[in-house]
Amino acid sequence: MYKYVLKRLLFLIPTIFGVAFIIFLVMNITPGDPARALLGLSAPQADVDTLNHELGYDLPFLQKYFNYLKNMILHQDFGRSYFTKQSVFDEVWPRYVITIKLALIGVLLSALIGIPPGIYTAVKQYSLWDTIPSVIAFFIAAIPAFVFGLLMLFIFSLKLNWLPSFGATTVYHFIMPTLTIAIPPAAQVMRFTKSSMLEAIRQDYVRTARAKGASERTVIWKHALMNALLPVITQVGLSLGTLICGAVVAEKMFSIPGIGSLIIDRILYKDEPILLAGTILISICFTVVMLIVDITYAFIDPRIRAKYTTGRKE
Amino acid sequence: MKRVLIAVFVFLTVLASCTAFAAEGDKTLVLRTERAVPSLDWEQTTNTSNMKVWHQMFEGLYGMDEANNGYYNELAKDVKISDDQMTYTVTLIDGVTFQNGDPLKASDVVFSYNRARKNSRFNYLTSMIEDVSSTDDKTVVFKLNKPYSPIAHTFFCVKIASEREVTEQGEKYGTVPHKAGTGAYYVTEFDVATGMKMQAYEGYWRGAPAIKNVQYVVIDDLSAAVIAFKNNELGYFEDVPLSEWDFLSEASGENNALIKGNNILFTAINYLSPTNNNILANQKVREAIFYAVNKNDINLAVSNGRGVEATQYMPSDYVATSPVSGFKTYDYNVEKSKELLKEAGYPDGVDVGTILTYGATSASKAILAQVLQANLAEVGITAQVSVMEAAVVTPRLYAQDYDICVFSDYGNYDYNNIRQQVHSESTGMYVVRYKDPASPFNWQRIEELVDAGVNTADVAKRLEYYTELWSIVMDTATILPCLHDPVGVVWAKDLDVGKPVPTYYKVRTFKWK
Amino acid sequence: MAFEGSSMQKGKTEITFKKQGQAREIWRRFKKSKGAVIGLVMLVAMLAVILLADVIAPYSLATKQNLSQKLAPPSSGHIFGCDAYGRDLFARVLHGGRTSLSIAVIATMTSCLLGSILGAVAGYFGKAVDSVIMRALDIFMSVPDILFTMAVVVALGANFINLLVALTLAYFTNYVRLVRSQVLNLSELEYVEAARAGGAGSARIIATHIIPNAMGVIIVNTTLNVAKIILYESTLSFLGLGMPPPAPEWGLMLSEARSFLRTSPHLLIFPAAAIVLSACSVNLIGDGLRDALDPHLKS
Repeated sequence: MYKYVLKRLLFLIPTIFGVAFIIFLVMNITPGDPARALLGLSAPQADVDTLNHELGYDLPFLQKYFNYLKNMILHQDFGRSYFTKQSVFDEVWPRYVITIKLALIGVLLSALIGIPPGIYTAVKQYSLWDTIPSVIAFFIAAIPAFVFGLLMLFIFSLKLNWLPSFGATTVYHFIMPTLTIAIPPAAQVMRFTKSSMLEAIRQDYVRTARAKGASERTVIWKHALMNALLPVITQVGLSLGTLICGAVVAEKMFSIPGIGSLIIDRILYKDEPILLAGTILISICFTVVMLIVDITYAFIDPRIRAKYTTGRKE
Repeated sequence: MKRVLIAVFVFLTVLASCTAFAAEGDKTLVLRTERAVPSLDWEQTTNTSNMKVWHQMFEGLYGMDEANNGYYNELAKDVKISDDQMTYTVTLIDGVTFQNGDPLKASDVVFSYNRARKNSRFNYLTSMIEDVSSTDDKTVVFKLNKPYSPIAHTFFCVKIASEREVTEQGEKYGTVPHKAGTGAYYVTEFDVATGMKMQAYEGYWRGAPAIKNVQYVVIDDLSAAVIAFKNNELGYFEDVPLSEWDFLSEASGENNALIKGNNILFTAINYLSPTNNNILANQKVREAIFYAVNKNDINLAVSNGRGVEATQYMPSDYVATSPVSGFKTYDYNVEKSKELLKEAGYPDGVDVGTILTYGATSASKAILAQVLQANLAEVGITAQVSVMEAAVVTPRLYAQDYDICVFSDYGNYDYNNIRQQVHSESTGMYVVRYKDPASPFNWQRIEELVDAGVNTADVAKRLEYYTELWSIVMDTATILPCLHDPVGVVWAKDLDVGKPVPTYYKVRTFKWK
Repeated sequence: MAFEGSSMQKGKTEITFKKQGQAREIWRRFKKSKGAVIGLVMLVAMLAVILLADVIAPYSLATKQNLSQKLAPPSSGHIFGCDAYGRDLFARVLHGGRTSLSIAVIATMTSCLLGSILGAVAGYFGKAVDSVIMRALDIFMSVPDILFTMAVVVALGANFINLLVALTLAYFTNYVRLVRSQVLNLSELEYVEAARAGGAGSARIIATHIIPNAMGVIIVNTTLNVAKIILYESTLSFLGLGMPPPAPEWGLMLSEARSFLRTSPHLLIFPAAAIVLSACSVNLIGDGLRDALDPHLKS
């Protein structure tokens, strides 16, 4: 088990290298350069070349890549933003924290909103209490997240003036953005919980428990639920990846200074140091969450833990 | 059930950790900036949205009073011009101190100008300056390499910063709060992502400003900004979306103004384009395109009918030497357009390539491009519309790699700015290249007139030159001014802003009611 | 696509026969599900309307501006009302469907193709090839999709083809994993081993034995993916990364509607309803197919 966790954590290193490589590659094949974006189009080419040189942008692709890795590993130096001249870490970290908060609350919310009705509809299968919520969830899953955002802005900010329409300073600022990104995945989670629950209810051990005379409550909560939740956890964990991307929409819509909007803003300036640091941090988060999901999974289910000791589960 | 409770608890903990507190002390004026301000060093971008913020902190030799049309002396007490118009001797006013307490000296001006001259972003403002020097603490001498009457624009744009403060902050200058300006406010908190807080400089040379606390917040989404104003989260909101004008002006009570904008949305045709066998090299086709443009439609779509249909390159309300009449205006005329098309040999219409523009798809340029496409379709001319990122489009425009483009310009206060559009030395700024081996136009005369315009300070004479210049340009049927987009400004009920201006508002002139 | 898969087998009567029987059985089970049939009917109706769009309302109506009709509410002349340019919203929703759905379908197919090839190669060859592909994929997946989309769109401009490239890059990864695990399971089966023993080449085994058998799972995922792409596509348009104006496209229409949400909600309602309906119907069909293909999961 520990060996496995260690192995997975060690895989972070090639991930970081790989992500940096991809970003450098993408920057290399897309047109434009930071000095031109900074100095404007009327600046003479000689000045642009000089600035690109000062920024270290004009180095050959691979040299730039290895220099970056060297500075990152040996000096923990992520460089300075081409655009604001601020230290990259100082600029990226607070925004990263906001996005992660947004995404984590979004994940928790989607689980909180999605799991209970999922269980409920499974227990009440074929009744009206199954059909109505299921149909609603079905429709919600087909609505783009930003439409929820727009409607909430319209209702809670414009009409009722209950919630602020921009920024990320107080807890109130987080309500609409997190709901915006949590509702569509919540519908998915609900559907998933329901099918997982239905499957669990039909398993032999549940039937056995019932036959032994355990109360319906115990059967549902103790036997079926624990097993049904396993795949749901994976589903919820996996949705964090999409939520981080979905956060970009919420960030844009509610003017939240998060990492997604930072990357979108800076891609136009080819602000490589920011783009690299931002993407690397997101990929680390993604990888770590996937690891946590896998470990939780193994922790809960000994059968899977046994599998982990031999190899990686796909 | 216990697990659910734990989950709720965890959720609340995370939620609570996001909570910060906003202590309200003195009343703070909150303003919106649509784009993050990347730096507190005014030299770092030339973006108007950022410049509006810097104007609260920094001052130049000249100021700009848009409400009363023109430049005025700000830090300059007196400017003497030599007979050959090549030497400007500027005396500084007394009693000015930087926000760090240091008195303003001529050496600070020299330092600031030399710093700006090294920055190629400002070549268009400083390339005519040969040398800047100080003769004593209060006198600065500018030596030019040619007579240059629009120097007032340079004196306005280049801001003066404290040499000591800038040098002491060194590499950090711009990334952290500083007190290097002479303006009425200095920054106390700065975050690229969220904005900044400013405080009144009590030692300001005109006297301490009435409003003590100012905050700029970054809200890039217009709809969010509209809601923020309506909910009293913004105290002053300028350049509001005109589709929401009725709503906002009502929400603001009496506190609103719709001002003619000092901007121009225009269409340009690249007569050098190889598209469809150089179809756009045909003068008649270009004229047919221009006659097909319905500026009323453009006004309705872009400004909700509140704009001003344009014929001038710069509104004469803001630019004294801007020609008012004596040139072709291509008034909307479908019949004439069709006739020209027939004369050109395309009675059944023709494909003219792509209308290229940049920016957001909901922004005025993209809207104009779509209206233009529909207008052209009415007379049988087909064109595609392409809206892309500015970083991709603008280099193409400046390299004449387009067929038709929609473009904008703003904040011009001297007609010489037209040099950017018509003079061959403005490579990288003009979208139509008049000086070209294939050019059928009298570009020599155009350039003569541009030079003649800057070589004289006489307004009537300049107007005469510029009228001839604009007439030649309009005859080429390559640039068509379409619309002056109005600027809507709304402000809070408890705020008094004096006479509202389109661009460079001054918070120091505001007060609470 | 299911039927394309089986037509590949035409030469071998036995298998074709079996496949046809299978298809009939799947169809029988599919028909039983009420939701799936509703979805299918909805989708067919929508497709019919969209395909006949030119007859119902010519394309020129979708782009013709009449600014005196700016933001006109629904009326008998314009049943969905007019947009900010005075264009007929009904014609735009209709023709927008053509753009939106064809992007979604084509992008799903290209990502399916790319992902399936990589997955099949990884699964079939195993060992080093598998490790390289899967580790590269892990790294690739940890970079947010939106970044690739941005890079493609910013660098190459927003148009149909570039949007396809961006969407393919964002969605092919699912298929790699899916097809790989299918191939891993299938390549151990007897008939594949028999084919291998009979001297069939790798490519041939993958193409004739493995892919057709993995088809069921792929089809279900593909169907569900179409719905996801419809939603992702509209999100991209909302961020200004989608189809450029004045093309009628649902996401773009929504993003244009945003400035008029307060005064003219019809600009938002109709394209949003179109998106929801199409995503719903595709999802219903996907669910029905999954149940039909895998009776074990049927509730």
